[in-house]
Amino acid sequence: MASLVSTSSQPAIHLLVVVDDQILLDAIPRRLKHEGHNVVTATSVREAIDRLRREPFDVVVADLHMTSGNASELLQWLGSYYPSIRSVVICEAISPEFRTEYEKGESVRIVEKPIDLDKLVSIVEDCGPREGFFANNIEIELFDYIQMIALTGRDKAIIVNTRQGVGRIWFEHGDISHVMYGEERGEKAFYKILAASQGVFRETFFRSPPTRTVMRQSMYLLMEAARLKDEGLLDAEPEPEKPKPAPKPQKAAEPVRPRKRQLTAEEEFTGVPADDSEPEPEPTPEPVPERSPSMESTLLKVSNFGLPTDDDEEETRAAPTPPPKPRPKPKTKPVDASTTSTKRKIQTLVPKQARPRKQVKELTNRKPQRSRTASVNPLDDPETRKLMLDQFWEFDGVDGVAIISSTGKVIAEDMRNNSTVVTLAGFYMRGAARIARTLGYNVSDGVMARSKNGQQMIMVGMGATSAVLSIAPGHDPETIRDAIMGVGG
Amino acid sequence: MSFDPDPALRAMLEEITAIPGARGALVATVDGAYFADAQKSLDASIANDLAKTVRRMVVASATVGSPLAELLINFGPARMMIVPLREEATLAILLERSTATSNVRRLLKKQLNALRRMFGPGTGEPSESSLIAVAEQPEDEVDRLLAGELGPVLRDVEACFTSYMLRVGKTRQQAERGMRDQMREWLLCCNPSPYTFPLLIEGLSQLLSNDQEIRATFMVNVKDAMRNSKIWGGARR
Repeated sequence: MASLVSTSSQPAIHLLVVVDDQILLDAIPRRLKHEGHNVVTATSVREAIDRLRREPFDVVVADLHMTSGNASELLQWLGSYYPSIRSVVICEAISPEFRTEYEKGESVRIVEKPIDLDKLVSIVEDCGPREGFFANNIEIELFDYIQMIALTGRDKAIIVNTRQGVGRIWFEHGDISHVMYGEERGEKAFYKILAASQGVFRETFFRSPPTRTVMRQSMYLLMEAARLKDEGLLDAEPEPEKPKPAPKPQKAAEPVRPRKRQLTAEEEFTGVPADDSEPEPEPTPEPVPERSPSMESTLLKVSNFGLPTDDDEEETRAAPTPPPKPRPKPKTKPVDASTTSTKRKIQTLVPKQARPRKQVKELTNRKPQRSRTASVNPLDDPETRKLMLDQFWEFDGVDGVAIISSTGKVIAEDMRNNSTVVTLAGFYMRGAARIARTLGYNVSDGVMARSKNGQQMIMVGMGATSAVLSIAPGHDPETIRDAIMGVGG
Repeated sequence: MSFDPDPALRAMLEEITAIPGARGALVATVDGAYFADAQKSLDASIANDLAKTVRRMVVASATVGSPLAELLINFGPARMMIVPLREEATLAILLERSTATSNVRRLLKKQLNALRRMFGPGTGEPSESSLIAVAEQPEDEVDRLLAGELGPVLRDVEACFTSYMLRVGKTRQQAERGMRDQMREWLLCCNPSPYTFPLLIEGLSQLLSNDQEIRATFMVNVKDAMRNSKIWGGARR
C-alpha cells in the first residue's frame, strides 16, 4: 500500500489506541508510529476517557471486546462528547449489513480480525486529522463559542492549545479584549490562532486581562478572519514535520492474531450511537460515574453567567477608550407615518442616506462604560434614541422602526401598530444567524420578510445593533433596504 | 435526507437549482431536508440543520399570528430565499447575492402550485383555512422541549420568571408569552442544552426590567433553580 512507503506531507495524526491484548498493544502502536503518527495507548475504557478529557485526539482505535470492558461504552461516550473524533473499531467478523449500518456516518470505521495492519493504517490515514477547534468539555467550535460569548456579553477567559503553541483569549462584555499567542499580541495573535486551524480550548477562571490589545468587536474579528481565509491570507503555520518512516518491519504486513477468542460483534455493539448524521447529539453524562471536570466546568459556567459580581472586576479594569464627542441633533424633523405619501422618492434620498447611517453607526459603536454608579451608554440617552429612530422615517414606505441589540433586546421603538414585527425580527435574526453559521458565512447582513397577512419587514445591521423596519403594504422592502444601505439607484 | 421516493419532486428541485444564480434548493419538512442528490455542495447534515432552522422560523412566525410568506436572508456573497409551501413543508433556495429575486419569484410562481400539491391536499395557494391552521396549531417544539429532559428546570425557571414579571407589573399571560418567545429564540439561535441554557436566561432577564438589581436577583434565583436541577450534575455530587 502507498502508506507503507509514504513520505507524504500529510500531517501526523494524533491517535489513541485502546486495546488490552498484549500482541495488539505492541503491534498497532509500533506500526502507526512507524508511519509517523503520534500514538498514545490506553488499556481500558476508563483510562481512554481520562486521556480523551486531557488532550485532543484525531482518531481513536479501539478493540471492541476487551477483557477490561466493552468499547461500545467508549463509542457511546465519544458520540455524546466528541462526535467529530473518528473511531476505528477492531472486532471479529461481522455481516455486511452491520458494517453498512455503522459505517454510514463515516464516524465509525470497522477493521476485522485478524488485523491487516496495512489496511488499518490506510483507514486511520483516511480519517485524517480532525479540523477545527473544539472545547474540552463539550464539542463546540471556537468560532461558535466566540459568537455565543458576543451574544451574551459575558466576561470569559479561555486557553487555546494548538499544535504550534498555547494562546489565551480574554472576553470582556462579550468582546475580545486581549489575545496572546506565542510572541504575538492583539488581533494578529487572534488570526494566528485561527490560522492554526485545529486545537482545543477550555475556559479558565476569569481575571482581568493584563492589558487591552484588541479594540474592535468580536464579530469584526471573525469576519476579518473569514475574509483573510477566503483570500488565502490566513495560511496555517506549517505543521510539525512528520518524522520520516523508519525501515519497514519485516513482518509488519502479516495479519496479527490476538490470543483470545472474542464474542460476536452484533451482540455487543448495540449501544453504539447508530446515526452519526444526527445533527444534535446531546451530552449524556451517564457513563461518568463521578463528578467530572466537565461538570465542574459547567457548574462554573452556571455560577458565572451574568451575575453582578462582575462589576467588582470591571471597576478595577483599565478605562476603555473615551467615547467620541456627542453628535449634534440633526435638523431633520420626524415625519409622521400618515404623511409618507408626500415624501420624496427613495432614489432621490440616496445621497442623503450616508449621513444618518454613519451617525447611527458611530453612536451605537461607542464602547459603553459599565459601572454601578453611572451609565454613559449613548443608547440610554432619549435624544440619541429618538435621533436613531427618526432618520428611518425619512424613507417612503417605512411605517414602524425599532432598534434592537445583538441579544434581541429592544433599545428604541416606534412601531406604532406593528409591534409583532419586533417579535418576528427576534426570531428571524436568530434563525438567520444560525443559517449563516451552518452555511459557513459567519453572520447574516440583512433580512427581509413578508408575512401572509401583508406585513413586511426589513432588518439592517448597524454594528452592535440592528434596525427593524416595518414596511407598509405596496412598498418594496428590497428597494427601501438598498436605499438605506446606499446602494442601487 | 436526500430522496428517492418522489422523482417529480426531485426533478422540480433540480429545475429550481438550474435557475441562474441558484446554488441549491431544499424542502424542509418535519422529517428533515429533501434535496436533489445532484446538489453535491449540499451535505446531508447541513441540509438537515438548515431544514430544522427554517422550520423553526416558520413555526415561530405562525405563533405570533404573522405566518411567513417569504423570507430573504443575505449572507455576504449569497442570499437565501425561504418560501413556506404548506404547514409541513418549506422551500429554501440558496442564491448568489447578485441574483435578482424578482426573476426567481417569477420562475417559482410556476413551480409553487405543483410543489404545494406534493406536500398536502388541495391545490394552488394555501387557503385561508390552512393559514389559520398554521397559526392555531403550530407543530410546537417548545412543548416538546418542556416535556423533555430540560422540562423540569424550564418549568422552575418559568415560575421564577412569572413571579418577577408580576412584580414589575406584567400579567401572567405576558409572562407565559415572553417565556415561549424566548424559548423559540433559544431554539433558533442554538441547540437547546444545559450548556446553552444561559442564553435563554439572559433573554428572559432582558424582558424583566432595566433595573439591574431586579435582573441580578432574578439571576440568583434562576441559578438556584438550575443548581437544584439534576441536569448540571447535582444528583451525582
